[in-house]
Amino acid sequence: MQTNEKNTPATPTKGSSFVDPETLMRIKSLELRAKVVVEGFMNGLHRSPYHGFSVEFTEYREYSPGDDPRYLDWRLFARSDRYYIKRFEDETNLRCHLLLDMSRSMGYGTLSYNKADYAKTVAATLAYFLSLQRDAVGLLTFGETITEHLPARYRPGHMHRLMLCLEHAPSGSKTDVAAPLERIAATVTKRGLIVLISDLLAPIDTLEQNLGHLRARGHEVVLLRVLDPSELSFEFRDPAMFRDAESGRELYVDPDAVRESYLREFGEHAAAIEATCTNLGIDYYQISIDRPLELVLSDFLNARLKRGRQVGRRRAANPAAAAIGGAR
Amino acid sequence: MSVLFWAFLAGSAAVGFPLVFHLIRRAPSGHREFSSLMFLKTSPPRLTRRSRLDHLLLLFLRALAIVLLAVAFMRPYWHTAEDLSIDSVRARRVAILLDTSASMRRGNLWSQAKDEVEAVLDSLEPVDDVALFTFDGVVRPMVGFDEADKMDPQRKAEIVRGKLAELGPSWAHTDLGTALVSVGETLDVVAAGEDAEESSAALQIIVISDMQQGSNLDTLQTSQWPERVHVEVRRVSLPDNSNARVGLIAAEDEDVPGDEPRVRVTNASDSGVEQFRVAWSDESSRASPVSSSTADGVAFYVPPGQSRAMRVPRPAELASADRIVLHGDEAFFDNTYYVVPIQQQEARLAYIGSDAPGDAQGPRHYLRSALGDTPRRKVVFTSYAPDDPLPLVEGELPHLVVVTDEVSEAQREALSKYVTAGGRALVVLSGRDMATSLGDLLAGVDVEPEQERPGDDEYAMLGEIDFTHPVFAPFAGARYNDFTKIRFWRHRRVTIETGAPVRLVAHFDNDDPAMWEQTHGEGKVFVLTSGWHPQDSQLSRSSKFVPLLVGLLEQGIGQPLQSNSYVVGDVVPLPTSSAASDRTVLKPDGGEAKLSEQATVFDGTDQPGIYRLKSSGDEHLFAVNVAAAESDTAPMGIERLEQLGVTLGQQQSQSEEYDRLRQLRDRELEGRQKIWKWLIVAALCVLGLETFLAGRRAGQTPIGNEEGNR
Repeated sequence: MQTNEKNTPATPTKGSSFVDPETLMRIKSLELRAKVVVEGFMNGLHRSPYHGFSVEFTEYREYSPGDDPRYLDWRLFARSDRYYIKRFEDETNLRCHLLLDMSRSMGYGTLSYNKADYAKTVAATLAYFLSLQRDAVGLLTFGETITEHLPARYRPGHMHRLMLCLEHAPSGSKTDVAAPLERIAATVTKRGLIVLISDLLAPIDTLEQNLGHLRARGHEVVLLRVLDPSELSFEFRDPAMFRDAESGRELYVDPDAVRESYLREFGEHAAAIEATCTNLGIDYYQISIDRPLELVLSDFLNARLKRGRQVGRRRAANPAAAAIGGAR
Repeated sequence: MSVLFWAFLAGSAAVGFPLVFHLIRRAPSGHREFSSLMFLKTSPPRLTRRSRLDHLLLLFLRALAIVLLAVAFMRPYWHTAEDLSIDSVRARRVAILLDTSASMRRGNLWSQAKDEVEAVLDSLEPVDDVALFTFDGVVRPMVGFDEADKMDPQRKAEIVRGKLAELGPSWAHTDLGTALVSVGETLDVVAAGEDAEESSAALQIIVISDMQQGSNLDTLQTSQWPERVHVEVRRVSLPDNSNARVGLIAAEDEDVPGDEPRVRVTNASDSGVEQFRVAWSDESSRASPVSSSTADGVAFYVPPGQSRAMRVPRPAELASADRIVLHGDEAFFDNTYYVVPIQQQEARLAYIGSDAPGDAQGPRHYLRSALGDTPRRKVVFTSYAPDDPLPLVEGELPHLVVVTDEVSEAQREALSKYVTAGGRALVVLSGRDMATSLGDLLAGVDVEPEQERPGDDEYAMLGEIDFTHPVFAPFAGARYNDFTKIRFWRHRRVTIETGAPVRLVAHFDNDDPAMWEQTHGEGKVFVLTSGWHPQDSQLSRSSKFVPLLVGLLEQGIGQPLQSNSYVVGDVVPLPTSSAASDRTVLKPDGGEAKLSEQATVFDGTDQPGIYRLKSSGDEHLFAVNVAAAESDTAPMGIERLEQLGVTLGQQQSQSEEYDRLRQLRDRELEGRQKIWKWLIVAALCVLGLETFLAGRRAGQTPIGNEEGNR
C-alpha cells in the first residue's frame, strides 16, 4: 500500500520539465492529452520498462469437456493424439478497470478546469499508458447510477472508444460509490486492477464493505481522490449563500467563522477514508487538481514499482509488469 | 405640544433596525456554488463592534426618518389658549327611585336594595346632585333636589342615608310606570329651569327594584319620555322566585248566601313549589295559623304559571273566620286573603194603596217585583189599604213609605209624624183629591184638576233632570242619562208656590214638574207626578226603573259601602248618607283614623286586613288585600322599558365627561393643525436625501471594498 503524502497543492516550479496542468487542459482532445503526458513521462525514462512484454504461450492443460474447443492445440493433437488446451499469456495480462466518478460535485473547480476534467485526463492517461503495455482497460463512469460501462479489452479501436466515452461522459447528480463497486464485483470475475477516481465527497458508511468485497475477490484496488485546492484549504473570504452542487441546498456561510470546523471535519473524513484503505490494503492517493499529471503518474508508477519489487522477489517477474500488476 | 396616541411612540423603537443593519458586519454578497456542504454549518450574521459603526450620516438620516414617521403617527398638536376646566363640565343629577312595594318584603330583597342605594351613594362624585324617591302605588320624594341644593354636597349622601334607615317596604302594589314618568318629569323640569343659567346637568334615574312582572307600566304608554333622562335599572333578586297567591272569587248575585266560597290559587310562572293547602282562619288563630280545626284545609296542586279554583268550605266552628290562609308558600306577604262575610241588610217598605197584589195595572205589583231580595238586602214589604191604621212604631219604622192613593186622616197624621221625625216617603200623585188628603205634607203644591187623557200619540218625556240629586246621581254618566225612551202618557199638572221647601229634580219636556223633593221637618217627601204603572207611563218597563227605586229606598236606609273588598292603596268611597261628625276607621293593626265631616272618601288603606268604619252606632266592615298584580313576582325584562320609549343607559360622571370632552377637543385641535402631514413630508425629504447620499457613496466605493458595511 502506498499513500501519496503530497496532499497540498503542488505548483510546478519554473523551468520544470512537467507540463503545467492548466496548459495541458487547454488541449481539447483527451487522447492527445494522454499521449502528451505519457510520452513526456516516457522521454524522462532512459530505458523503457515496457519492452519485451508480449502475449505469450505459457502452458498446456489437458482438455476436459466444457472447455472452449477454439483453444485446442491441433498440432499437439496431431503429434500426440491427445487433446490439450493452450493457455495464453493474455490470461496473465493485467485487466484494469477505471471507475470514474462523474457526479455534479466533480464539476466543481476554482481553476480554469474542474475536477471532472482532471479526473478524465488522469483516466485517459492511465488507459493510454496501460494500452501501450497491451493491458486490457475497461471503463465505468457513474454518478448516482452507472452511466457508461466499457468492459476491459485490448483490441484495436478499443482505446479510441474508451477515449470517446470519457470525453462524452454525461455527468450524474449525486455521488454513490457503492453501486459501481457492486457492479464491478458482480461482473468482473477475473482478478484485475480497479482504479477508482472520485472526490469521495459523500458518506462513506458502505465504502469499507464494498471495497472489502472487491479485495476479497482478489482485485487490486487503487483509490485516486481528486480534490480542488479550495476544498482542501477553504480559503474563501466573503460570507455567501453556499449552494451544494449535488443537492442544490443553500446555506449562509461566513468562511471565517466556519473554516476551522470545516477543515477539522474534512480532515476527519479524509482520515476515515485513509484508515479504511489501510485496513483493506488499498492504495490511496489524494490529488489536488493543480498537481502536474506526470507527477501523479510517476508517483503512481513508483509506488506500484516498489510494490512490484516486493512481490517480484518471490515471482521474479518483469519489473515493469510487476509495477502495474504486482499485486495479482 | 401634546399628542393623541402615545402608543405610537413605541414605533420609535424601529430606530434600532438601521442601527442593527449598520452593525451587521457582512451581509451575504451573493451565491456561491460549492462541491459539498457536508462539512459546513450555517453561521449567524455577526455584528461588528460599536466602534465600527460606519456611514454615520446615513445612519442618522435613516433613524431620523423613522422617528419622524413615528411622531407623525402619534398625531401631535399644539395647545391653544382655550383650555378646558373641569368646573365647566356638567355634573349629574341622580334620582334614586327605590321600590318599596309589598313584593320587596320577600327574603332579603329590602336589605339588598339598601345596599344598592349605598353603592350608588358611594359612586357619586362630590359635584353630583342626588335625590331619593320611593315608589309603590304612589311616588314619594324623600330627599328632593331643591332640598339638596342648599346643602353641602358631602352632606347630601348622609341625609339620604338617614332617610333610608327610616324606610321600609309597604304593602302597596308597584306602579313603576307612574313613578318613572313622575320622577322623569321632575328631573326634566329641574333641568329646564337651569338651562337658562348654565349648562344643564346630565339627568339620571337609578331604579332599584325587584322588577317584577306585576309592575304597572301603563302610564309610560300614555306619556312622552323626556329623552335626556337616562334610566339605569339595578335589579335586586332572590335565587328562588317561588310565590303563590290566594284569592276569593267574588260572589255573584245569583249565589245563594251561605254557599261554600270558591278560592283561587295562582302560582308564579317560575315557582318551584306546586303543592299548597288553603284553610280558613280568624283573628284568634293568627298566632298559630294552623289550628287543629283548620289543619286539614283543602289541598291544591297548582303547576307553575297556572291557577286553580276550588271550593273551600268554611268550618262550622270558625264562624268568625275572616281570612283565607295559603300554606306551602315561602313568600308570605300575599298568603293571607281577608274576607268580610256578606251580611244581608233588612229594608222595610210600607205601601199605602188600594190596588190588589197581583193587579198588573196598579203600581204595587211593579214595586214589589222591582225590589226583590238580594244577597245584600232583604226587603220586608208591608201593604196598607187607604183606610187601614198605620202602625208606625218606634224601632220598626219602615225605611220608606210609598203612597199611591188617598190616605185617611189617621194615616196622614202618622205619616206626617214619621216624616217629621226623619222618615222618607214617596208620593205618587194620582189626583187632586189625593194631594188634598196628604195635607201639609205637600205644602205649597197645588194640583190642577184631572184632565182628559190625551190620545196615544200624545205623550210627555223627561226633559230636564238634576243629576246632582242623589237619586239621579248614578245616571249621571253619558251612557245612562238618556231618559227619552220613557214615555209618560199621563201626569198631574201642579203649581208650586214660590218659597215652598221644594227641590225640583225633574221636569217634563213641557216644563211641568215631574219629580221633586220636599223637606218636611227632619224627613223628606219625594213626589212623582206620574206613576210607573202602564196607565201612566212606560217607566216600569225601563231598565232605569229598578235603580231609581233602589236609589229612593237607599234614601231611607242609608247607602252601604260600594264594595267590601279593596286592595292596599285604594281610596274607599264613604256612604253619603253616613255623613256624621264622629266617623272613625279602625285599622287592622289597632290604629284609629278620624274622618272629617266633609270627607267623602277614606284613603288610609296602607295595610291588608279588616277595616271597620264606625259612624253613630253603625258599623261597616271592609277588607283590604294586597293587590293581585303584586303577587306576579317573576322578573320582568328590562327591554320592556325600552319598548315603551324609556332611554336606558348610564350618564357619564363629571370626570368621565371631562375626559371625553378633552379627547374631543384634542382631536379637533389636531384635525385643525394637521402637523402629521408636515412630518410625513419631512420624513420623505429625509429619505430622499438618504437615497441620494447612499447612491453617491456607492458610486465612489471601489467594487472590491464594497462588502462589509451594510
